[in-house]
Amino acid sequence: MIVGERKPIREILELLGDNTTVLVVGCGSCVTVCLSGGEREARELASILRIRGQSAREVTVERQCEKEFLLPLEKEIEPVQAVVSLACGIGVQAMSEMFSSHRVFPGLNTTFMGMPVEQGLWEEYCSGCGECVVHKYGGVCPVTRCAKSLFNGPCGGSQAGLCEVKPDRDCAWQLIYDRLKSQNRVEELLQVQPPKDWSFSRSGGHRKMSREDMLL
Amino acid sequence: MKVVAIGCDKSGYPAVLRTLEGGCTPQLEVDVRGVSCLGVVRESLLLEILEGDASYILLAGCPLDSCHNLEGSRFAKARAERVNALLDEAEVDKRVVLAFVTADKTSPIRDALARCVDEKDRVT
Amino acid sequence: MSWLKDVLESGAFAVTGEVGPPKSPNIQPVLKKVNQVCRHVDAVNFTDNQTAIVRMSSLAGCLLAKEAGADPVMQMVCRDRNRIALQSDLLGACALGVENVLCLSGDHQSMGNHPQSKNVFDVDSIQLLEIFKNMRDRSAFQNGEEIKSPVKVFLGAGESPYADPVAFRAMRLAKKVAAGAQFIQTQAIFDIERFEQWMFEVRGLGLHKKVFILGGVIPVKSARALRYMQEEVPGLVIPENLIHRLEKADDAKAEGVNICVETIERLKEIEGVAGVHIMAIAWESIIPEIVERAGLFPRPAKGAEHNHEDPKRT
Repeated sequence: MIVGERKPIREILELLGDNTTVLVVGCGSCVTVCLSGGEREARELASILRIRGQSAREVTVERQCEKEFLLPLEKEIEPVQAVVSLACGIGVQAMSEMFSSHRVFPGLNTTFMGMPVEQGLWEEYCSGCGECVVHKYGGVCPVTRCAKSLFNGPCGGSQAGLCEVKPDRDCAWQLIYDRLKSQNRVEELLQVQPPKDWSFSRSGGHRKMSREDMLL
Repeated sequence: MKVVAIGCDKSGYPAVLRTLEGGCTPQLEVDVRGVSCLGVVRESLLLEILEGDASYILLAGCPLDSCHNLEGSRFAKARAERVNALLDEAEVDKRVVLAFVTADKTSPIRDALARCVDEKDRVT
Repeated sequence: MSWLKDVLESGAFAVTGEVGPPKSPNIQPVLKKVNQVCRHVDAVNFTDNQTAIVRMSSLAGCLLAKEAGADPVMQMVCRDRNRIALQSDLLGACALGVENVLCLSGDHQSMGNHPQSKNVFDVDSIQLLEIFKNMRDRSAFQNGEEIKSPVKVFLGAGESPYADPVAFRAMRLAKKVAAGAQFIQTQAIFDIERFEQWMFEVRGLGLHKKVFILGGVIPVKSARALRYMQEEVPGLVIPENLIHRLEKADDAKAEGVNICVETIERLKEIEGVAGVHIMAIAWESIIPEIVERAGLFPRPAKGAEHNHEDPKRT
């Protein structure tokens, strides 16, 4: 899922500036699950704005990243001066595209693709590099979970199984080594992995996917 | 200044009523409501109340370790802290205040109401 | 060709030193440090923005050292350059007569003085070794295109015998050797027993016959400095007894040198250790004393072809 973190309320207030009639739009998908931009958070933010004397309403759609779900918002948006989207960066852009005469402000920062690892804690697991290779690494992504995206083994700073860059995190290469050892596959790590083809990643420029068989 | 007091039927509600019968800080107008357990009070309700003219919400319930429904008071404490954090972030002076009592205790309620009078006080 | 390579291949116990380029364009500190150490080491490493702090480029330092008569080792990290820039800089180094290159991943920028910067890590240090090896041995760029003139380079890598997972460390060295490493300069050794254990594993894989291993040492000036390294520098293991020795010593600096010299004496006895790499951080002037006391002076004399070889400029 996509994980996001609500912007500080002070920053949202600064973004809104003199716009006093506001619609807060939550998203019922990823950011609901990570407790940052769903129905509950939309209601809380609108409530806080009202407590501060602004005229705010809230609405939450099932998925802000699909325009079909945004169509019914037209009437809600029409009278307001500004929209705060609590969706990920995709939702904010979808809203901006759909309601292009309105200012749509991002109410959260999209942080990463990851998963909840325990109650109230999320971790990044995927960078969307466009060419998945996790099977070579015991199912642990070195691109994302190693701070230096190393493909051929740990750096020289891993200690007690923890990352030297973020010492509250596991060293991805310790995880990879342990997983492969438990599968009796450690010798596979001796293979020198050639440089990655990053052209499938963001480095290759803006990405698109098309399915000829699904086009209308 | 207006305070909305939400009390647990088993502890906080009777305690608040008893406190008010014994006389209360004159600056305060206290609106008392009873609930079956503080665990039913959600953040949304707290915020909705604060959208009105109340400056404070007093949540009065069973002591943390002897909540009739086990975790109700703990939930209330966590939610109050979340709402207070939001209010802090938004630089709003309103606050949620907590008091954990048994039905016959009045002093923790009196102390909590007294704290409401000093606008600078924060929930601990 | 590389003087360091000649010394190692001659079977002599090699000595390399390290110079951190200045945080300015001033060439005086570089020349001063090079002059302090050049008669006592076979080659001088120039760090590449080590600990992610901006300094004069390694290549510039190498060129200054080369002109002063030393054999430089250009360190290159993968943090700041993609494969285009890395290959380009290797060509540039070759053009200027810098023939030793040490391939490293590089410290993460969050540890340095520009933590807001974007890192690269297009390739890792092992991939970099392989790219450079192919540029030299196959005259081919990473994309397979031909390089029209020969690339001469003596390839090195770092290794940290102490970092986790420890069981993978010798294997990781094997990968570096397979990828093209011809010499290795290790992380600083304080715990000699654990280093010996690692060398035992390295010999078990036969790697000591395929690559020249130079053990890294750091002379320290105080117990506090050693404690700091113990607590803050990832990949180092520092035994308590060394810190106690420095605490008890009347002259901690002298004791730090003693420890360093003793470590080198032990390294000389370990089968498969081909030399020592002295990282006297901000204390380059101590290198001659250490080398002399460790019985490693004088250094092998350079033949005429290695003396003040002019950079091949046209």
